[in-house]
Amino acid sequence: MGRRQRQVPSLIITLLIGLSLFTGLALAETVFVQGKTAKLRSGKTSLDTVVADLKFGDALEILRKEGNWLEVQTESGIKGWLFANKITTTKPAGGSDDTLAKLGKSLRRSEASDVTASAGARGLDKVAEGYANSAGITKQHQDTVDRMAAYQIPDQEVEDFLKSGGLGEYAK
Amino acid sequence: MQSNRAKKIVIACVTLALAGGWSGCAEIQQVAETVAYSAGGERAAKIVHGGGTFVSGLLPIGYEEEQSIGAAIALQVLARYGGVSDQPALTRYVNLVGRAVAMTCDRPDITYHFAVLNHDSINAFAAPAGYVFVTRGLLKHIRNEAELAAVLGHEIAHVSQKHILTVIQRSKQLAGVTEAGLAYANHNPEAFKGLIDAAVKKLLDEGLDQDKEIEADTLGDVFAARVGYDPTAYVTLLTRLRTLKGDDKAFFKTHPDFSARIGAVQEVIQAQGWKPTGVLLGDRFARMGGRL
Repeated sequence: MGRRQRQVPSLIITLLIGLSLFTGLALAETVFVQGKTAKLRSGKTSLDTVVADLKFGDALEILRKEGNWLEVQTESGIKGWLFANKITTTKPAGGSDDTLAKLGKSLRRSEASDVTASAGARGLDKVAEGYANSAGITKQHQDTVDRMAAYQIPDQEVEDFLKSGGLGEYAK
Repeated sequence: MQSNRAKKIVIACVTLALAGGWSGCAEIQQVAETVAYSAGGERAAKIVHGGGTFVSGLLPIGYEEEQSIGAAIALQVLARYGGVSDQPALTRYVNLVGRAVAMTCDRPDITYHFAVLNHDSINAFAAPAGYVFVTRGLLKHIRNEAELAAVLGHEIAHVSQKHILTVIQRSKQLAGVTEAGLAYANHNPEAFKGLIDAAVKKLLDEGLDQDKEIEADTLGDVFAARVGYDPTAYVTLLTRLRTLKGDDKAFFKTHPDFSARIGAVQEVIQAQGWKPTGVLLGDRFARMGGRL
């Protein structure tokens, strides 16, 4: 009997903790920016002013949803509206190097450093250039890969392209 | 006695090097090699070095190495297909559509590069690190920007899901290659060439596995739909291409079973509840079509 009485408070505490966790999850849904960039706006149209430029992987708390737009709050406390095509519910892993790849790179760095010294804006580093020469690839094709890698289009021009096509948040 | 003690030290150092290899701590590996050298000489240090390198070779290929591999494969695509279009407006247009799709893909934090291959065959390719090619022949069968966005989305998905890198990683393991990427290429360029050539054969001649193609189809359509393109446009294009069967044997060899692919894309559209109300942009594409 005494043992059962001792168990009651701990059961209540467990229930309270469980309830508070559940309530917390139900009230605040965290999502992450999936796009390369995303604009946080003061209202739910593409004409509203940009209050923050978000980056890939930024965590956001959803406050409410209206149509294709979400009102969110950033970790630094900025509130605004975001077009819903650039969010994910799971934290993106990061594409340039995941954790295990970084470990491998760390191990190989001393041997890799001398072969990547010439890598910069060029598409071909020493490894690819060595491959090109051993495989008999013409200079013309090597230059083409260099040009492809160096080809730049500013993000703003992509944004203007979306706007003129009525795409993304500029949908008519 | 002294020899047994040295052996024990070397075994301990190999274990330490393996742990260093797995944990990614090159300093641990260096310490293990130094201790092994003092206990058992150069041979012991080599054994310890080999242990650490073996573990590091099993780790995924990093982005820096992916760039070398991607550029090498891109070179082979160019060599096989004879070069790219020199029309700046067409190149710019394909890059704009491609980058719009890439910005909302599952791996948007690397740069994607798009080019039109000056070739009449019907095909498109992606090499690691974001090199994407579409042939002039395929563009001639495309009717609007939404179809182009889905084709580029398919290729972007091959990059975002690292399909070719998986093939290379598997080849490496089958060949017993324990060193990866750049270090490997530095020590043994001929063997590196062998790995790239095998990957090129898979990409250009045999085609990727059917499940990878279907994954690229469905994900690519999701990426294009996120931008706002009509997701049903891809079904229309695949259905049109299916009727061409036989006209371009290489394409149907590397992209087999259109019925399964069309079915998979339709399932995704149904599951997402998408309606055929997205943007097609036939006029904007037609303005570029005149340059083909």
